[in-house]
Amino acid sequence: MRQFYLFVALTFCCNIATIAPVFSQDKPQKEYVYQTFKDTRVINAYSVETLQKNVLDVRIGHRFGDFFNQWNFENAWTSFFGFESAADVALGVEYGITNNLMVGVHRTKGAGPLRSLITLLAKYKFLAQTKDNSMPISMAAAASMSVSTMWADQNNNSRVYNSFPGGFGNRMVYSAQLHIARKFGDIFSLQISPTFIWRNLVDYYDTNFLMTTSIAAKVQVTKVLGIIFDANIPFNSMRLTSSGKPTDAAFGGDAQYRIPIGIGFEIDTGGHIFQINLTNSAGIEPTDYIPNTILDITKGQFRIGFTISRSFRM
Amino acid sequence: MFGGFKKTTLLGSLGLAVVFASFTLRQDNSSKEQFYLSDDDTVWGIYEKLGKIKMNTVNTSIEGVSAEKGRDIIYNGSSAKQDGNGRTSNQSPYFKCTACHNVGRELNDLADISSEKRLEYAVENDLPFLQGTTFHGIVNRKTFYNDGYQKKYGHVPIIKASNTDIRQAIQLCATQCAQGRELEDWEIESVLAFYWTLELKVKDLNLDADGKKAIEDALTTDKSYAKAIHTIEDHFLDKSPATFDEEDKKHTVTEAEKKDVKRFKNGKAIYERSCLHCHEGRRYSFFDLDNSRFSFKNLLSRSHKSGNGSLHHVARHGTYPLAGKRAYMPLYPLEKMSKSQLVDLQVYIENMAAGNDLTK
Repeated sequence: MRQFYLFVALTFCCNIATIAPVFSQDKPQKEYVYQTFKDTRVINAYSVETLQKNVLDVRIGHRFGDFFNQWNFENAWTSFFGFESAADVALGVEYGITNNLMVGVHRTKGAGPLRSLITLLAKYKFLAQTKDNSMPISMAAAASMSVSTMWADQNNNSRVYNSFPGGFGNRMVYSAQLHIARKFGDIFSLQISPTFIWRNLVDYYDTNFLMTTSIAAKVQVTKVLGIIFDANIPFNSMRLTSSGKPTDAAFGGDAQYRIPIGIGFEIDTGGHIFQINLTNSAGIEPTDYIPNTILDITKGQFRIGFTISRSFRM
Repeated sequence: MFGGFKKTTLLGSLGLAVVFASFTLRQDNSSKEQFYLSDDDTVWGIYEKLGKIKMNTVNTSIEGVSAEKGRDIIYNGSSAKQDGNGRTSNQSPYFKCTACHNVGRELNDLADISSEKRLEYAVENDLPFLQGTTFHGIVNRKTFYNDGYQKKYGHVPIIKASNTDIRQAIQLCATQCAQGRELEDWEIESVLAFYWTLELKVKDLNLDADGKKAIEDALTTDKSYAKAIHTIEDHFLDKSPATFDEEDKKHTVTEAEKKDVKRFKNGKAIYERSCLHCHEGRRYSFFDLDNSRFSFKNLLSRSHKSGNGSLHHVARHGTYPLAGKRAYMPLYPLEKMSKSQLVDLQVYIENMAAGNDLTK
C-alpha cells in the first residue's frame, strides 16, 4: 500500500514537471478560462482558484448547530434550528503572492477532537484551462498544516487528545491536495481533488494516513448567483463503509464516520463572496472535517453555515 | 550735345550695376545648404529649428532619473529605486497606467481624433480602446485635463494647475485617477523621460509633398517660419479634447438598430477592447465580465435601468469611490466613446444577451 501511495505521489510530481507555463499578470490573459469557481473554497473543500497577486482575502466562516437533530422538533426549537450554537467558527486571511500562488492562515474553533486550530495553507495553481481547449483542465496543489492550540489536560484518565502524550507533535495534522477542475461552458464546473491527510495522533483503531477524494461542483444560475456542492469520499474502510465506530466517549456510543457532504449557494457581488450552505460536517478545515465527520444527514444532523469573503487590493 | 549722352551713360551704368548686384545676391543665397526633412526627425527638433522653445524638458539634474524607470512605472506600476537598490512600492494597488492609456499611436490621422476613427485603428492594430489619451506624443501637447475636466473640476487647484503643467497632470493622475501614492520628483521626471521617447516624429504627421516642402523651404531660406509651424500644427492636435456628456439620457435601442450588423460589430469591438480590458478575469476590477450570457444579461438589465448602476451612467460618469473601496471607474468623454458608439455597445449587449450573434 505504501508503494502505491508513493507511486501516486511520484505521478503527480511528474505531471507538475511537464505542465504548460502558467499565466502571469503581464501576459495577455484572454486565452485562459476564468473563474472555474468564484471563490478559493467550495463550501468546505478548497477549489482550484487562487487569489490574484497582491489581493488580500478576509474570510469568516461559521457552521451552526444541527438543524433537525433526530428529526425532533423539540430539539430543533430548543436550539432554534441550530442557530443558537456554533459547531465551528473560522476567521482567516489569505493572500495572493503571485497570480498562481497564495498563502493563508485561519483560526478555527475545531469540531473534532482537536480544538483551537491554527491552520496554515498554501496553494499553487500550475495549470490553467484554455479557451481553445488546448489545455482542458486547471490544476492546483494545496497543502495545509493545522496545529491545535488547545490546553493540554494533565489528567491522564481523560481523552487521550487532551493530554497529548507524545508531545507537541501530537497537535499537528497535515493535508495535501491536488485539485483537477474543468469549466464546462458558462454554467457548470467540476473538480476532483485527491487528498491526503496525516494525523500525528489518532485513536488506536484508526490510521494516521487517510486518503480521500473530494468532488466539488458549481452550477452558475445568474452572473451573481451560483449553486455549489462538495463531498469527500474517504478511501478508508472504516469511513467508507460506516463500519468505523469512534469509541471516544465525546462522540457518543453510536457514532459512525460519515461522508461529508455540503450543498449551498454563493453570491458574488464583486469584491464580496457570500456562501450559505447546508452540510453535515461540523468542521471547516479539511484537516478537521475530513477525518472527523460523524454527523448523519438522514437523522437531520446537518447545519446551516455561511462564509463571507471580502477581497482587498493591497 | 554731351548732356544727353551723359544721362544715357549714367542711367545705363546704374542699370548695369543693379543687374550685377542682383546676380551677386543670388550667388550668396545659393551657398546655404538645402534642408531635407527626414521621417525620423522629431517634431520638437523641427520646432526648435523654427525658433520655438522646447517645453516640458526632463530635469536631468535629479539623481536616478531614467526613461527605463519611467517605462517600468507606466507598465508595471513600480521601478528600481532612485539609487538603484531594490524596487519601489507599487504606485497604485488598483491600476497601472496602461489600464486606461495606450502607449503607442491610436490614429492614422493625428488631426482627426474622432472616436470612430480611433476604434477603426484599434481593430486594425489590435489595440485596447481606452478612456485615457495615449501617451504617444504627449510631450507635443500643450494642455492636459481639458474642457470637461476643467469645467467640472477646475475649481480644485491641482486640476487647474494640471491643465498647463504636465508634471502636475502626472501627479494628479497618480493620486486621484489611480488612487495611488504620490510620485516622487525623480519618478515624475522618469515618467517624463519615458514620454520623451514617445514624442512625435515627422513620419507620424503624414505630411504630403507640399507640406514637407513648405517646412524644408522655411528652414533652407530662413523665411516663412510661421507657415511651416502652421503646417506642422495642422497635422496633429496639441491638446486632447474631453467633452463630458452631461445629458443623462438613456437610449432605447430600436428594432432597426438591433439588427444593424455594423453596429453589432462596433459594439463587439468596444466590449472586447474596452470593457474586457479591465473587467475580464478581474484584471482591474472585482466586477468581472466575460463572453458568457450571464455577463450580457447582467449588463442588459443595467442598460434598462436608470441611476448610478446603469450602463449609460457608468459609461458617461464612471463609478464613484466608496468608503473602503477607493478605486473607481473613469468615465468616457465623447471623444473616447461617442453617443453612437454607446448605442453600438447596447446593440451588442442586447443581441448577445438574447443569444443572437449577428456575425454568424
